[in-house]
Amino acid sequence: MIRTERFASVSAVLSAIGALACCLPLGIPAALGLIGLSTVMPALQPWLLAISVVLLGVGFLTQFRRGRACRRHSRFSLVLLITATAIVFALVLFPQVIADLLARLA
Amino acid sequence: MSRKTLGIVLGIVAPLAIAGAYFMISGGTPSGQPALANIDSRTLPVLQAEFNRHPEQMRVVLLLSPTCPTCLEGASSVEKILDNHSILATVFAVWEPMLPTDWAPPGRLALRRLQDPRVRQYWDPDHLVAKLFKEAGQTWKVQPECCELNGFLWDLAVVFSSGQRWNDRLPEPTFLNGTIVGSSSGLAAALLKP
Repeated sequence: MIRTERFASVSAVLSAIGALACCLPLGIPAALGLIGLSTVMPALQPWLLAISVVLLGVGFLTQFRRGRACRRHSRFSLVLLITATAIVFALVLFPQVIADLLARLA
Repeated sequence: MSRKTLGIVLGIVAPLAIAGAYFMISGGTPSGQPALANIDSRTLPVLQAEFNRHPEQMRVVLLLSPTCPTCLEGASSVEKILDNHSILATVFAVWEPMLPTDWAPPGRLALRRLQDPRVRQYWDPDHLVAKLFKEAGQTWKVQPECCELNGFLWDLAVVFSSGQRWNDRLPEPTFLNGTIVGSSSGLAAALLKP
């Protein structure tokens, strides 16, 4: 269960960042060897954002759904989930700020 | 979720939300530039008149997306060219919604990438300028090497030499290429050509 929570959180962040990978400054995809991918990514952006939100939903469900047995939640998983949520929501609500940060990284 | 967790979440999210909203919403253009103008079928002739106002100058049109980091880099590269050279030119930066994340007009961070007073900034939600360029571009000798998404041109720089006027159709540009950051040396050369 903990693995699912962590996987969902990390995947949500990765897919959200992937959503902006369409138009990352040239240096970043080049460094990752993904120049060709950057031409395909714009079309994938809405899907990647949707996947991020769904994965966060999976993360929250597994974190807060009450199981038959009483179990303690991993603090690390919770922190990861909250961080992932903040990042994904920042990407969706304040994309210009994130785009500006990414452009400055180039 | 416990009260403590909720408090932590709100403590992190609230300042981020306020900071993000500040940079997204307060979209004033830099001093020395007119306010961001909206382009629609009614105001397109205003852009055309502005283009024709100084035919003795070179005119540069940039097509940009406010949430595309490469476009933002391109805007900065144009700013650098304007900073380093006293070119007699007017730059029309046309921001358009190209990505699903482009749900708002360009905010402070995007607009401040182009600080020079020779720049005029526009928000074109219906891609009217990109459509005009695509239509007119079919007969042009210079063709871009890239820069089309969902049928609309973007991340593109177009240079029109002095003396040209935009009448029924856009005139033939002397330079047309993208991405803006990738073709910035060509753009600088086109602008510095005597």
